[in-house]
Amino acid sequence: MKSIKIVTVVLLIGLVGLLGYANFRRLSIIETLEPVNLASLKIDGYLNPLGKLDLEKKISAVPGVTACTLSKEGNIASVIFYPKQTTVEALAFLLSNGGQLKISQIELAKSGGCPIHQLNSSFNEVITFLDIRN
Amino acid sequence: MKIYQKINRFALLLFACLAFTTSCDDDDERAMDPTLYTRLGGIDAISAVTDKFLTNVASDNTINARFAGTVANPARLQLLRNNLIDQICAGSGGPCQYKGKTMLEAHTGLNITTAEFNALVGDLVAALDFYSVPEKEKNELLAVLGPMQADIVGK
Repeated sequence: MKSIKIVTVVLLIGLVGLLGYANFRRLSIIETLEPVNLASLKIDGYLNPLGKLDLEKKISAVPGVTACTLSKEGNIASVIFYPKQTTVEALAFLLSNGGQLKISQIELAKSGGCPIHQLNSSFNEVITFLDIRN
Repeated sequence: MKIYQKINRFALLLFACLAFTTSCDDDDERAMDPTLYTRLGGIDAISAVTDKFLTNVASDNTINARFAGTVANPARLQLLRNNLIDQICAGSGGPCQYKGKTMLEAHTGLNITTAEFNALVGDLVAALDFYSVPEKEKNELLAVLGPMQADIVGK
């Protein structure tokens, strides 16, 4: 019984310590940036080079969009956006250009890809989760 | 009389100090040339270029398959974006610290070809051009990142 109490107290102290660290540490410059999402959308329909450029500019100007690129072939649109400000559906609607183009989300591979090499990423994820300032 | 001598000495000492600090100012100005980080426009400009670079890569049919699994997962995308921003920021003299593995450790076993590396550099140059980064700053940044090729290609 005594050992359970000791373990509970130690865990509580650890949790309070983590919460304190998460919320009072000085944020690095990277942590002050708002998180983003990337949408990869397939475009079906004809787009001439000028139309491609116009569409890219139109999407780039949408509030909450940080970058947009249409592939050389004009069949893929990649958009980075703040999920708090806009959605994939809203972007797909705008990309359809009033229904002229058919837009669908590309099913990307769930595994593989470029190696993510941040040594303490799991610890950082926990700390970010506990940080109520986010 | 002693008091006057003391005041004179103090005045001389003060003058010498002022002269010294004034001469140091010129040196400081020379030493405080703006870093590439500052000339690029700081963290906001670097993150804007990084985002454009990432959308260029994701739309580039030569290499986007290499990144598909990463950009599909928001948490992994975030880490990739943060690593890229950290790397450019730290490499250009900014207040960031790259926390990832070395390029050699990260790319060993991936068998990346020269054509793929060149396509990636092309996407970065296109992102820099999109934001009209001056030629001087563009070349300085590419000179910082260029030597990484030896640790990325054919490993």
